[in-house]
Order: sequence, then structure tokens, then C-alpha cells
Amino acid sequence: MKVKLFLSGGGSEKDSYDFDNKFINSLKLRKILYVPVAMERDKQGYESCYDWITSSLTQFDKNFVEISMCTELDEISNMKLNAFSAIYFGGGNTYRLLAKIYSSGLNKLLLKYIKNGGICYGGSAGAIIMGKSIETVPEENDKSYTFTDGLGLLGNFSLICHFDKSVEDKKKNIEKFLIKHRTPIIALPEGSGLLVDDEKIQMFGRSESIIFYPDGEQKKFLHEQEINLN
Amino acid sequence: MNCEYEIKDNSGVSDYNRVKTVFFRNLGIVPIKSDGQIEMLSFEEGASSQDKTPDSDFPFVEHPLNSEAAKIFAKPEFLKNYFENEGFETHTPRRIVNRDGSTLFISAGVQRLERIYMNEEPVPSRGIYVAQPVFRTQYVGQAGEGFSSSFVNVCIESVNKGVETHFQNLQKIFTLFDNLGLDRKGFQFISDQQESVWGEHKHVQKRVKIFFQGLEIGDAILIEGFPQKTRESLEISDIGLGYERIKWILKGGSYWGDTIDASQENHTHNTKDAIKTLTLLAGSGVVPHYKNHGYRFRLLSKKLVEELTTGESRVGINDLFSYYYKYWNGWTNLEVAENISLQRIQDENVRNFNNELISRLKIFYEGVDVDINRPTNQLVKLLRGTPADSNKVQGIINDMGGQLL
Repeated sequence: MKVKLFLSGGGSEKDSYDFDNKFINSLKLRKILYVPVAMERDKQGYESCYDWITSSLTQFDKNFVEISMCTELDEISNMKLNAFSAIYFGGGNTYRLLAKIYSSGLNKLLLKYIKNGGICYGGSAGAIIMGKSIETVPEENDKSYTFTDGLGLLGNFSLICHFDKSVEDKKKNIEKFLIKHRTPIIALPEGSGLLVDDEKIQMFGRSESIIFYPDGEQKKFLHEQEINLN
Repeated sequence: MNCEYEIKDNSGVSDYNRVKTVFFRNLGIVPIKSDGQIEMLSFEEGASSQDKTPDSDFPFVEHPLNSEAAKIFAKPEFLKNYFENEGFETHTPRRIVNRDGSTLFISAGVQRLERIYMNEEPVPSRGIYVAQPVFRTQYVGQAGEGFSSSFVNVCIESVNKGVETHFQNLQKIFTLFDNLGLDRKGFQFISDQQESVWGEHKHVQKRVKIFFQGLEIGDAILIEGFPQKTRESLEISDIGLGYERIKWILKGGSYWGDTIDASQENHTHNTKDAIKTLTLLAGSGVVPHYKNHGYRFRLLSKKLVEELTTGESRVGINDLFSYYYKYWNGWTNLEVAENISLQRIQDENVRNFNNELISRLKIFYEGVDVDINRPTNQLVKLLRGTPADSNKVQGIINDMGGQLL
């Protein structure tokens, strides 16, 4: 499987250790562009983000991981995207992240980058934007954002992260989404992730994910199981 | 221009927006654009001619504002004396390495107060002046005119002194600008608010970004309601200026231009930036590592070696280290001696050079792997015991501009 997307269900550094390790070890050249703008931060706040990402991605072995941070998406085209073997989209507000990507035109660069063999890692919000729609998390639209169509890299599937089946609000969001969109949702708990290539999606992690279909069917999605993108 | 003013609180209730409006009106500065959340302001008489984006070309590059003032401004005592005369208490800057704070390195002057707002130490009774060396990782490898990964953040800070004091402090900044000869018609402002998180403390910042001839030179931030566990939340007035940017405005030419003799003129911005920041880190006791504080050292050295192995001149490099060591020592007490700092940087540069050499060799000889933590000439000897052809090794070293000395 030639993975082009690593999509994490979220959680702590410890939760995603195995998934992150797989991501790092898949890179021939350990050169990553880190995009933390899903979170609204000042300069000091973004330094904390950088501290976190370097802590997360340098814990596996002593081989150096070169991480550059970009907080102004308009500048990405100047950063020679192809110089990086992966782009890492961190978590935060899904609507904010998507709006920044579309308004900067990064969506077009990103699709080209992936088509040319680049890898994307999405954590939580960074994962949800890769799906068909981000209206799986309507509670995050706190500033009347208008962009809701995701980047569409998962076929008809949309994502929910931090999924906890005991939380009623999440289940209500899923029901509303399925009625409105008539397309399936993959609900990822913390500590789980998806590996995506051109044809299929593979589940990674011991936590139980669920696929919700518009006809009401629910399927467990277990470690190393695969589904076709189309 | 002398522009004394007084803020009267007519309603009896302090209000940020009202005080801000009065403050700017008294300076002759008016809103020129607003979308409800973000407001752009400029000098009344020059509003139409100043109605440009903050990213446009900088006139002061060709027409320096005040090269004489630049010489005075270059002395750290000048700012210290000015702010002390204005009633501020000078605090020494913190070490760039932040051992127990919310970030690994100090990235803003306000972190001089970190133990007050994070650890709930007593609130200072007076306003504080600090000229704080800071490190901002996002500019590593992205240096340019006006952009550097390390600089001096000149700050005045007050805690729980009210909105009026915040703007009175900003007035003192403008008096400083007047003293330096910066024409108020050249100023432009963007007023907005943003959320941020320091440690676990989420808060809202009311911000006025200050631009001169299109260049952002500082900001005035009022944080209201910074959460505390054992006492009432704090109000923090944080006004910070980019020292090197103001110096650039005064002297014109290149932002990086004042180091410089002819041999150093040709270096790229990223080379100068890496050396500047590496010197600050090494002088502050950071040693290279693949994690934590030392990670940044390794990253910067790697960036520097990339420059030095892709055609960048190596002439005058050690003089640049020496220049920046003295520069930083003028603002903070570096704890590691210059020769030791330089040696640590050189050793790490050689290590990264060796790493790049091995990476390039692996394209031809997949299994080649030797310990890179040694001088390159020793590494070359070790490579003789591997399948790597010695002519090939030497060819790659030549392509990389020769061994680092």
C-alpha cells in the first residue's frame, strides 16, 4: 500500500504513538512542513505548537526529523512544497482550517502535491478536511464560516474524530449529517487512524471505529480492514 | 510633532474601544477601513496617500529616516534610559532557554512576566521595561529583509493597571518615535482581537499592530481576564517593538546590512540568520540534540550547512559568529564563552556536513554507514573500509564546496 494520507483520530502524543511512528517510518526523507493554523494562536502560542510537534515526531529514534512550521498559508507556494516529503495539518477548528486553505488557494497546490507523490498527515481537524464534507462537526462553526466541502480525498466518505459512542451530541450530529448528505461517515476514536492510498482506506489501531451509512447501517471498522474508496 | 493628550472617561466606565478611539483621535489618526472585526487606521491628513497594504515596498530602504538617530538607537542604554525616565523599571532579559515555562524558548518579551501570569507570583507594582532576545522558529529557513528567527523584542509591560494606562504606555512609545524623528504620517495601524493559549490558559488579546511605511514594527496588546487559580484574573498590557526593524527604518539599506564588511556582504539572509540564532543558542548553553532544546540547534546548523554546501561563500563566516556573539552579549549575558560557543557550532556543522555526505553516498552505495560524529577527514579515512570509491567520495565533497573547516 503506497499511503498518501495518514489521518489520525486525535488524542494525546501517547494515544497516537504507533500511528505517528508508522507515519515517520514511511518517509524516505524526513522533511515535514507543519501547518498548525487550525488553532488560533499568537506567535507565542504557535511556538508551543512547534514544541509539541517536535516532541511528538522526534520520539521514535535518533534520526533527525526536519520540521518547518508555516502559519501563513499564502506563503506556502514560496516554500517550494515539493521540498517536503510530507505536510502535517494539526488539529483545532476544522472550519477555520478549511477556510484558510481555500482562501489561500492551498487546496489546489495540495491536490497537485499529493498527485505527485507527496504525503499528507491530518490530525483531527486536519483529517476531517480531507473528507467529502466537514459538516460532521457543525458545532465548530463558531464564526459563520461558509466553506463546508472538504478536499474530497476519501471518495464519498466524511470523517469524525475523537469519536466516543457514548456522547449523545456526536450521535445526533451523525444522524443529521446522514439525512442531509446521504453519504457515509467514518467515526474515528482517539488513538486510531486511517491509511489511504489511491484506491482504498485501511483502518489502523486497536480502538473500534464505526462506519455509519445513510440507510442506517453501522459497520465496525477494525485494524487492518480495508474499504474501497469508490 | 508634540501630541500631548488626556483620556477622559466620561461615562465612568473604562471601555477598551472608547479609550482606543480617543487615543487615536488625539493623535490625529482615524479609521480608514473596517469590516467590523478588523479596523485599519491611519493619520488623518495622509489617509488617502497612506491607504496601502502593509506589505508594499518600504520607502525607507532607499530613503533612511535618520541615520544619526540609528547610531544612538543602536546603543542598548538609549532605550533603557528613555523608559526609566518614563517611570518604568528595567528588568534584565530572561535566558533564551525557558526551562520551566510554556515554551521551550523565549519567543516574546511578555514572557519576562511568565512566572507572574503562569505561576501566580506577585504582580509588579510598576511598569516594566525589558529588551528581550527572542527566538521564533517559524522563520528558520525563511529569513529575509525584516525577517529573522531571532531578534530583540523591546517591551513595556504593566499588569492590572487599566485600559487608560495601556494607552498611556502606547503614548510613551509614540513620544519615543517622535524623538527618533519618525513622522507620524508614516504610521498605519490595524486593530483586531484574537484568541490564544499560553500553557493551558486560553485568553483573548485586544491588539493594535503598528506599521511604519508598510512595515510592522510592533504591537500593543491588552489581555483582559487572563485566568488565575488562586486570585482574580489578570489584565496584562503588553507593548512590544521589533528593535532591529526600527533600526532598519532609521538607517535604511538592508535589514542585515550593519554587520558587514565586504566579505560578509554576499552571504544569504538564511546564512546570516542561522549564524545569528545559532550564536544566541550556543552562547546560552544549548547543545545540539535530536530532541527538545538541542533540536533547534541541530535544525539551524543543518540549514546553515545546506547554504554552505550549495554555493554560498564561506569567507568571513567566523567573523559573523564573532559579530553576533558581541551583538547578543550587548543585550544579555551569554553564559558560554565565545570560543566554546563557536567550537560547538563548528562541530555540529561538521556533523551535518558528514551526514549530508553519507546521504549522497548512499545513492550510489546503499549500505554505507559510518559514525558521523568526527572530523570529515577522519570520516573519509573510515570510508576507505567500505565499498564507497574514494574518488567518488572526494567528488561529492568537492560538489559540496569542500570540507568545512
